[in-house]
Amino acid sequence: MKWTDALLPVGLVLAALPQTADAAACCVGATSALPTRVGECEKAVVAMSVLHEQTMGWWDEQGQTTEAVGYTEEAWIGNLGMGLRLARQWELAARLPLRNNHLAAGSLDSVGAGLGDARMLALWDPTVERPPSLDGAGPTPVGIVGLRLPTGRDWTESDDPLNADVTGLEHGALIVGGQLERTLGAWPWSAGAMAEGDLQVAGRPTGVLLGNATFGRYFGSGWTALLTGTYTLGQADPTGTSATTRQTAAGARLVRGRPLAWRVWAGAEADIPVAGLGRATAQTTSVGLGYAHVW
Amino acid sequence: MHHPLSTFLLALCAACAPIPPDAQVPLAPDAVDSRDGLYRLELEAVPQPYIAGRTAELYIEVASEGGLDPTAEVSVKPWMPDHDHGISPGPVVEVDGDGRLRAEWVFSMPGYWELTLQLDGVAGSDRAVVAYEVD
Repeated sequence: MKWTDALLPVGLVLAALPQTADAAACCVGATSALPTRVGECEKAVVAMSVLHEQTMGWWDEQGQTTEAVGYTEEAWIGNLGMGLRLARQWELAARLPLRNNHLAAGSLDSVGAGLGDARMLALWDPTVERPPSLDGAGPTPVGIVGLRLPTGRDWTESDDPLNADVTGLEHGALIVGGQLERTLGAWPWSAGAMAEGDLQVAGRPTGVLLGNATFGRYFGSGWTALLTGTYTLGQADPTGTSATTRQTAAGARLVRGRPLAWRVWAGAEADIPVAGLGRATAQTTSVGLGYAHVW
Repeated sequence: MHHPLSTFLLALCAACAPIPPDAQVPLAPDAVDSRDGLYRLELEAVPQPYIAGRTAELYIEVASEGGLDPTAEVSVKPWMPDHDHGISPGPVVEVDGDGRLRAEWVFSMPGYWELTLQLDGVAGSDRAVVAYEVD
């Protein structure tokens, strides 16, 4: 019997564990699919995470996959995050990435580091999420609006032939998004979309449209395991002559939390190297760890 | 009038359709006519294909109706339209002799790149755009 077969009964036992008794909404922190989110009766979250991202290959112009032969690109990305609940329906969130890039191509090998592009977001969740056993239980809609600030170094400021010192994009962006979230109960999930429209007037609108979904299982004692999926469309060309870049990624995340105290998580995500699921961009894999302190 | 955000979202959705080949930009041509037809350029890319992180060279011979134009000034601007960025520092263009010019730079990453060649010579100003798949 292979070792993976031995995991099957373990998984079945875990899946059959009874969900914990439906808790009040303020226990959202323990079951959250979104560990940096401020729960409904939490006041603030300060989070730190570190992510290692590596390029494994490319999707070409026609969406075919190719190997990254002779080209290496990897980055360590630290994220400092903060969330503050201003009112029952409103939350402010901020995130500042710190990047350390390592690129090697041909005979060149470069390292560069610096602040990335900061994001400031306001989140509006107009309804109180109710536990699954109560009348009116259902997913909570969340509206998101914010800004991406060009605090990183963009390519025009680069001194490096491989752009290893590039840590941000050339323009700021207006962020608009929305999602449905179900964070209480045994099967937390979320699904949403977010658009980042570049604040530039040079031509046609440019930016990124990102769809994401998580689906998980709460095992009790603050443990949640989740599957994640992300689909990204990017239009960077203000002349409008280029088709969009595309990426499709899937991953998994394990979250452990204690209400009004802390959350930790570990996760991994990889672009799916299948023709047609991407175009004109890198295929990356990433693994990360995070910690959030909650008040 | 469409709101910029709705225009942006529509543009992204339109991009889900199959990608038509861009007939406007020739891929790795040996010769190309400038946009307004003032010049014809003979091109030699070295190495071929170009490789990210290694020196890329482009030998350029400029001709107008009157024949070779060794006095033509050419600037070369690499551009990755899918990602909306170029390279920094940009290419260096120098006279290579025999009426040819030689441009030298380094592509920062693999993928589809376009080179815009801005031309100023006896026939006036014009430009040409050529494309390369960089390994």
